[in-house]
Amino acid sequence: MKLVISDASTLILLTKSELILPLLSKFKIIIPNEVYLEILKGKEKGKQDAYQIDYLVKQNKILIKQPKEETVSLINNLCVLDIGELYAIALAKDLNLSILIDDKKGINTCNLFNIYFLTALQILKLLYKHKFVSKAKALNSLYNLKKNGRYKENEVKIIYDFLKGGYYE
Amino acid sequence: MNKKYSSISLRLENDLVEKIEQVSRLEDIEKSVIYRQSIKKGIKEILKELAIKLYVEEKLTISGAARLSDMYIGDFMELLGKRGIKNELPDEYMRMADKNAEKLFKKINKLNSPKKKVIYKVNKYKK
Repeated sequence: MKLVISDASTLILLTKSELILPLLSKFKIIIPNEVYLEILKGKEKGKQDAYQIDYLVKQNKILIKQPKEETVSLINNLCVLDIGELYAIALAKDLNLSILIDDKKGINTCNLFNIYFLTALQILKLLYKHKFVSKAKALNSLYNLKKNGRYKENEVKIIYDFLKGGYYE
Repeated sequence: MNKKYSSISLRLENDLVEKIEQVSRLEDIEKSVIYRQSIKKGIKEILKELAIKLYVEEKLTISGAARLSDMYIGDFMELLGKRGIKNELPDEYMRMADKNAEKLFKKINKLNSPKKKVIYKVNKYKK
């Protein structure tokens, strides 16, 4: 099972777009405790996606690990990030893993530290390409990603054309 | 848990004071309660607007902005969506992410590909 790190916003996006379970069939997601606490805030407010993520944490499908404090300090000295993104990026650096992140400031930091990053859109495209989701499901997920992910029209169009021209019914 | 309170004095416009007195009469609630509720609601809105502004100006990340506005990240993303605020990721970043994704899934395919069948040749000796 391959491992990947995630920040809170992309994890929420993937859950709202019903892509989290297909992704977890091939990957284990790792988050720092700071991201988990951000998710739990949604649970306090009765959000369904937060309940689902918490359930997956309890099922050990999503793992919680902490980065080294010196890595956190190193990144914190160079970049202004919120605690969730900071710890998630530090964890990706420590474990030398890719990170799922949609935040521009966070991605700037990933580039600075040569950390591989993916957004929720790439996950959708590849889950479809590798036949982990059907065309109908992928189109439905794209609609949700467009609504919640606020991607630019041209980016959504590229994925839409890819899904429409794809082969997996 | 008991909340701590501080006393402040401030000057308000007369029409605002009249409106608060009106609400107090209609709801039969103390004026001080209405003042407190109004400030509480007002500051929530001010923080929300400030968080959006700082996010758009790229001074805060999405989780930082959600934290400032005391909102769940999922709700804050929805709010940005309703305001038509796009996630302005440069095209270059998306192409980089595409490449990274291909590499990541290539590894998965390798892991999942069936192992090559090893055919053992057996020497058959004639008796």
